[in-house]
Amino acid sequence: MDEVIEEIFAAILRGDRNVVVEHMEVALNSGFSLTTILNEGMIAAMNEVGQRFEVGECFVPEMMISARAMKEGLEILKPHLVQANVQTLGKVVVGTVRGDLHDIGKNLVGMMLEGGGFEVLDLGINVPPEKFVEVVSADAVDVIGISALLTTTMQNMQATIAALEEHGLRAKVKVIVGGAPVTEEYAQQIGADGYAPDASRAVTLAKSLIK
Amino acid sequence: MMRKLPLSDPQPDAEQFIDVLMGRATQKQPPLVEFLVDDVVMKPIVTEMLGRTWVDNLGDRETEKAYLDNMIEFWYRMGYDFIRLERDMGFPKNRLLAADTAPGSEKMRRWADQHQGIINTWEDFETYPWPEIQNVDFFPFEYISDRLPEEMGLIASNGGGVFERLSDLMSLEGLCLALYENPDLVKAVSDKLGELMTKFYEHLLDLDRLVAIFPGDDMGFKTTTLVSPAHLREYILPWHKGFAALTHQRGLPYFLHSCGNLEIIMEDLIAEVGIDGKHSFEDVIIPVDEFQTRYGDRIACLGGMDIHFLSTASPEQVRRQTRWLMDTCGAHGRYAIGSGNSIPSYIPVDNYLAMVDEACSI
Repeated sequence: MDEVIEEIFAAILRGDRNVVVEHMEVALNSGFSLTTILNEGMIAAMNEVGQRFEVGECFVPEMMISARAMKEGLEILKPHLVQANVQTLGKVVVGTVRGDLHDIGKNLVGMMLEGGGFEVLDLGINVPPEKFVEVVSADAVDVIGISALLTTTMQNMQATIAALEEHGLRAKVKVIVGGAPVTEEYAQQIGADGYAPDASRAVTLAKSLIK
Repeated sequence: MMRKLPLSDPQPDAEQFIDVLMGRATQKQPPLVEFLVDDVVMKPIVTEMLGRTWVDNLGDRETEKAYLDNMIEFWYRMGYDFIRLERDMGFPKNRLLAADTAPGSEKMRRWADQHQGIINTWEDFETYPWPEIQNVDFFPFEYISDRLPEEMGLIASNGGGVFERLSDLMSLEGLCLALYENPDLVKAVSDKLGELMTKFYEHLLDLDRLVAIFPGDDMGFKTTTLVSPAHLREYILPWHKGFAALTHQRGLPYFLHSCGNLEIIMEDLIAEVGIDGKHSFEDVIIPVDEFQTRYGDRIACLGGMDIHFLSTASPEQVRRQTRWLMDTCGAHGRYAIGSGNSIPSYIPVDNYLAMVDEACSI
């Protein structure tokens, strides 16, 4: 790997956004292809962050500062990606269900998905089923990621899936779920396509579902 | 139908409760334990089963006394050996509000603001209205301590531990970023919280009827701790160690309620901090019986009936699970039976009653 790409990789790993931004400009001016910068520098770094998170070598703060560094680098790269028509892996819409206002987990999922090569639309917190329906109706969405913290609010995951079915949209989109009380068993019970226990594994899951 | 609840003839024994949890005594029936019981659950029991008039605590002394009287009766008549009470010292913090989704609840649920803290800079730290110990209202603790039925004990704590309050004041997101961008500020806020809570506990430990300190400080989530063990060792665990040492000096146990997967710091909590018991268990993280197999010879295990199960199962299923916990964890010893977390508004009253009624069956 070239030194500049290595610097971007390492700076994302340690969450050093200033170095990421600085080296993005260097990489672009040095003639590296957009996909090299994106795949070998940025996405590879976030994959490494995810793997370290899964084995307990890094935690939420480290993931957060890495994701932020990645995001700032991506802001520089995005106009070039659009101009060159470089495709993302797919579009994921994330949101915390109606009645639920906690979103650190959902935000990390969004950041890790973006770092994994997806386009992410974050609907925020307290999202009613109708909002998910509206977005899926209007746009080409590949995956919906729904989060809930409480036993009572996670019932609205099922309501969201039911609303998608009611509007004939269920087959159009994959639904993944996660959050404190959510389990693989519950995901199956409500007809979701998958469950992930953390942000890193949500990326792996989303990738497996859109293959 | 409630067949075994000691509604009319409770026989609390706080000393025995503590002895069982500390491994100094055994008894056939594990004692009951609970961390918190929401008013939404307590109210129908107090009014319909105990025949009392419910009074909301409106903040004035008269309604507060009436509320505490009902609380004493509730814990006494349900078969507990103690009353657990916590009160926040008064740390202003940002909160978000949403309608409580629990059936029958008319309350608004308060959520921590995870993104916008009150303390983000040194200036915020300097201007924050830190509570002063001489202004903290200990009346509820003193009132309960003075009025406890014979042989009952008081278990008390500040509402929220150093980690919870740190992530409240800075917001969880703000804390995560500050750990790398402004660690001195994190240190200053956690030290200030720890120093204030130390004074709070010094005061609580003077209460005559106190039998244990039992704070809550949620440090984990489903798969691990929210921040690294290194950060917890630097900013949080030394304070718990200090609170535990103070409690032990008084000859009392220090139990800790902490949600999430704490496996990575359990050795710290047992060997370094010196906790005497652990509370808060979720089956998706580690069922209480598995936890007890790992640590039950060193500390007590408190509660453990999974909250998701308790909120969704039938009363009969709850009774079977209660019996199973009594036969397994109870038989091991150093165990008290109760919910895995607390009794929030969304636990059906019938399920709560099934659990305590079955637990009182021997």
